[in-house]
Amino acid sequence: MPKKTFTRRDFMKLSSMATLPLTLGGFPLATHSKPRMPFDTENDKILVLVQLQGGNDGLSTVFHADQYANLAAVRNNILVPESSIINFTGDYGFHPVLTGFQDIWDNGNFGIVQNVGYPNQNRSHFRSSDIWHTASAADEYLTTGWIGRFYDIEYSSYPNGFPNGANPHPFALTMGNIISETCQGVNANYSLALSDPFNPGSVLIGAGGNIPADCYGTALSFVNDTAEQTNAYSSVISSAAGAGNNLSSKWASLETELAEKLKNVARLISGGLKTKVYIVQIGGFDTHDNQVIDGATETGIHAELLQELSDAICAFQDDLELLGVDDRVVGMTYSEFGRRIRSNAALGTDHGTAAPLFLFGSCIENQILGDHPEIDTAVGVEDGVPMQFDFRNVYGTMLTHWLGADESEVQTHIYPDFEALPLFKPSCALVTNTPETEEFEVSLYPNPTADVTTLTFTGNEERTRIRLFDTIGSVIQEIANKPFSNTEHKLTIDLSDLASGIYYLHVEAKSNSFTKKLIRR
Amino acid sequence: MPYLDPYSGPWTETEARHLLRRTVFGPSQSMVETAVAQGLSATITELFQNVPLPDPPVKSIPDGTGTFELNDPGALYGETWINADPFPNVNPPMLRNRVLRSRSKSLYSWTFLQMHYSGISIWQKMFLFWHDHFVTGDNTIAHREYFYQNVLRTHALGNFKQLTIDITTDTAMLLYLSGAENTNQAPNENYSRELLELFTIGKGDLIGPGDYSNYTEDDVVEMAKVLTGWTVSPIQQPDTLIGIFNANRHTGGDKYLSYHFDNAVISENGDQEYIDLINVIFQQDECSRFIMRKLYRWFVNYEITADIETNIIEPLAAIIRSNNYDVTPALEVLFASDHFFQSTACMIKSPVDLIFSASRGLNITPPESSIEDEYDHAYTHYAMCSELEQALYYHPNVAGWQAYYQEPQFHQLWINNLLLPKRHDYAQAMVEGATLSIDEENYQVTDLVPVLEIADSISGAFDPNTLISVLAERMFNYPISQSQIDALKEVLIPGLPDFEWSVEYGNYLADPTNTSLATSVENKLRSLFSVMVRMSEFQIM
Repeated sequence: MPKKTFTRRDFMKLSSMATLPLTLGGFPLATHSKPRMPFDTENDKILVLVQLQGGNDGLSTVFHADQYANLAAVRNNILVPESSIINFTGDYGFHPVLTGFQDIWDNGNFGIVQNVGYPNQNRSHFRSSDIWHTASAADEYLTTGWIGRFYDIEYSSYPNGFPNGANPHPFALTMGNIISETCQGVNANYSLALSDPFNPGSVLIGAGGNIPADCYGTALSFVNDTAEQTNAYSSVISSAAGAGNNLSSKWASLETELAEKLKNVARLISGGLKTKVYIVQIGGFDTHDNQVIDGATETGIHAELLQELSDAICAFQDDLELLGVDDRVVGMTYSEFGRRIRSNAALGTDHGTAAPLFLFGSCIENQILGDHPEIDTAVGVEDGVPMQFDFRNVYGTMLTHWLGADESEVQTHIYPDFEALPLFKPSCALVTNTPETEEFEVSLYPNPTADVTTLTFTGNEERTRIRLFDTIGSVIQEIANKPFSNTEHKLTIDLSDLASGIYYLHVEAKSNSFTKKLIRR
Repeated sequence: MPYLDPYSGPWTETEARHLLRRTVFGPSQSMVETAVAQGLSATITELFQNVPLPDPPVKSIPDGTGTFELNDPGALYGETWINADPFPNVNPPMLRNRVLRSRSKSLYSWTFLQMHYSGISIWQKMFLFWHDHFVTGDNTIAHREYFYQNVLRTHALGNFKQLTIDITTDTAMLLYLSGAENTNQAPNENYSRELLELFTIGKGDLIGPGDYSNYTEDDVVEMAKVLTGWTVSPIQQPDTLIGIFNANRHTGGDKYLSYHFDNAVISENGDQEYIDLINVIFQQDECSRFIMRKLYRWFVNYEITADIETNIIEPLAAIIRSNNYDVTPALEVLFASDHFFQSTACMIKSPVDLIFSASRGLNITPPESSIEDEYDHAYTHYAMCSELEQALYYHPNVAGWQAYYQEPQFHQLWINNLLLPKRHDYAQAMVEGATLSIDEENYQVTDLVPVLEIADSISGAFDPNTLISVLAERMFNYPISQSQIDALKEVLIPGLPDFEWSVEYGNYLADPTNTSLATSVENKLRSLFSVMVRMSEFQIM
């Protein structure tokens, strides 16, 4: 595939930001009015979650021409050559191995959501993965997963009495040996593990014992239930595998684990399995060292991982289209965090903050949602990319616009402050996107400042949350969280107690969400 | 509830079995009987007796150039390869890799053989505990794996703080968590983060910007500076197996810790500085609670309620502290406590526990025919555990096996629709024999449960009700129901009245050398055992 040259423009926004009012690109509004779509029956949509384990380096995945020079100043040892970047639209570029992503983009089926994260980023793999799996706030500890909680709304007795006539198929499948915490419900995990669709396995059932009302009874019932479900779901899975098919010629050259898993997913969907959620995982993104090969930065561990990801997803999308099921399937990647802006001297990057998230499918709006990260050459070693979108808004949109949840259910079970994002093509989404773009004008003056600065903006008759973040993603101060009328507002922000350095003002409202840099002198 | 008061209730096979299942892998009936005979106190003393380091692993593939042979320039068949060059001078590289892999394989087999040959000793379970606590993953050089696990074995019953100090500069760890890449020019905080989060103090709630209750992001950065300068020499160098301190790569000057560490300043102290740091970390009481919770989850139960925290964890953590981080005294109190014997036994067996309960627990011994056979036998068990998601030396990540930390499922993660059939298959293979395909390799399971020998050890085995009840007592935690006994009799003597078993078994006892009588009884017993090891009750300990 020919690679276009990445054109570079001078970095210029930083100097103008302090004085001029900024017009920031908004995005279409979403409204929330639709009849209730039951999760199980009328809705035949399928969600494929692709977990990038370890924390993907978003800054080495998607590029913007404006930022290349500054990236070179802070991560030169791992930066891919500018000439190798695939320019796929405007000034945006992909890592050179992402020809598969480019393919899906060119076909109009690829979405990028920039700077996805959550406030008070936790940089532990385990805690941050838990946060993403449970859709909790950073300071909230939940024991159920976001998909599991959603199933619990309607199937709270699961696994008792499942499978049954109305729900003969597994609710979710994790492709591999271990089930995903994403699907943990109150009583049980809604997902089964599957490695060979033709041979899902069956067991001898040895029930009939006394089940005491203590933890021994709990353990025993758990094993008995697993045995029964193993057998009950085994036949529907293997018959779907038998009835299904793969048609894409792109699979032939792929021998990766991820490709194998996604190929099985396509086969099962085409074979009529009504499972709504599939989870596939690809590990190895924790690239503290040797992320790239010295002197050949477009190669190395990260490049191999991205290539595996992009090639497999491209073949999967092609297969879905050939199988005629592409209008029922969308996919989404996620990772526990992005990586630091500055690279380390071991040709790697450490745990960071926000990162781009990728969506694919014939129903996905072909777009880049959000702003490209602005790289300040003065960033500290600990600094990450500030968040723009809360991941729970992405989850919530998947549930309301695709899987058929009510907005109120998402607010109750996932995120009280949920605001939908326009992720889907209007023709596909269960909820209509209003094709109207809101502009949000703000200015910060003075900036930099030694003590106070004034935020001037025009409200949009909607609740607007304004918070100040530091460079590692922690919330320093909540400035406002209330409705603002359609007039000009001035808010004074006092930074005098803060250490000098870079901060980010994060503005979040239904019509828009963005981050502005603020410097305390 | 008397919690940690010394247990003073009955001491029968039931209690002895509970203690041994939690402290050794697959306790045999004879170990249970020994424990009953010598009493609880003497059993605990025996469990914690220090044992010398075992003889090192040996080359288990016969010498030669044939298909199932291999020449290792550092060791002949049956000799240890530990004293050989860690990077053998063998060409081409493909052949060298075969030698390296054969050494690793020998080490994994040997690890399982240690578990098998260990008597009433908690040592093996403590080793595995530390192996799950201080995870590394350099699987290319067997010598590094051996040195690493020797550090764990040396301190398995000893001092948590000293173990932390020693493992910090172990080369497998320096390589696994980027310690060898951590320099003054480019601090790498991979190790310092895990040192705090996973190895010593644990992370708490995020209570302020970059503040995880027990430490801050800045602590991670400062501690990374303390740890700068440690490197690993290239594999061809003679000193490649020990961590090397290079002062030129070390960040000089004072390092400042947060209020969580009483604003301690770690002064410049060269290659001793990391020890100063670990001493400072261990001054925080939270380290003792952190390790005690983990030990409790490993040995007793995953659920730590507020009640358990107050009445079990806190007092045991105090014992750990008063012993300057020796963990043995606290564990001795725990295993002798009312709480340990009064709590319900509801732990789902880990794969290693499962495999040993179906092998050693049912009198299977490694073959003595040859070193190759002995090691192959153990390697089959290693492969089974790996396939069941408890791969020794290959943890899924630095946090270790999910079953010991992932809420809310914990031990339930050992079982799902995919793993349960495999757990059944492997246990069944121990009873009936099988050729198993694991990760594209075939394994012959030919050392089978000696079912006749076990039946013969049960007085009253001629009564099928007695036979089944006694076997259930030995294999499960709690008695099974009459309907289960009836169902098992249908397996032993399908469609026949009880006395037919008495007749057949009686005939065999009267003439045990008669092969045809023995075979028919053995076949029936195999059917019975095969079902029993696949009952849900067998998955729990």
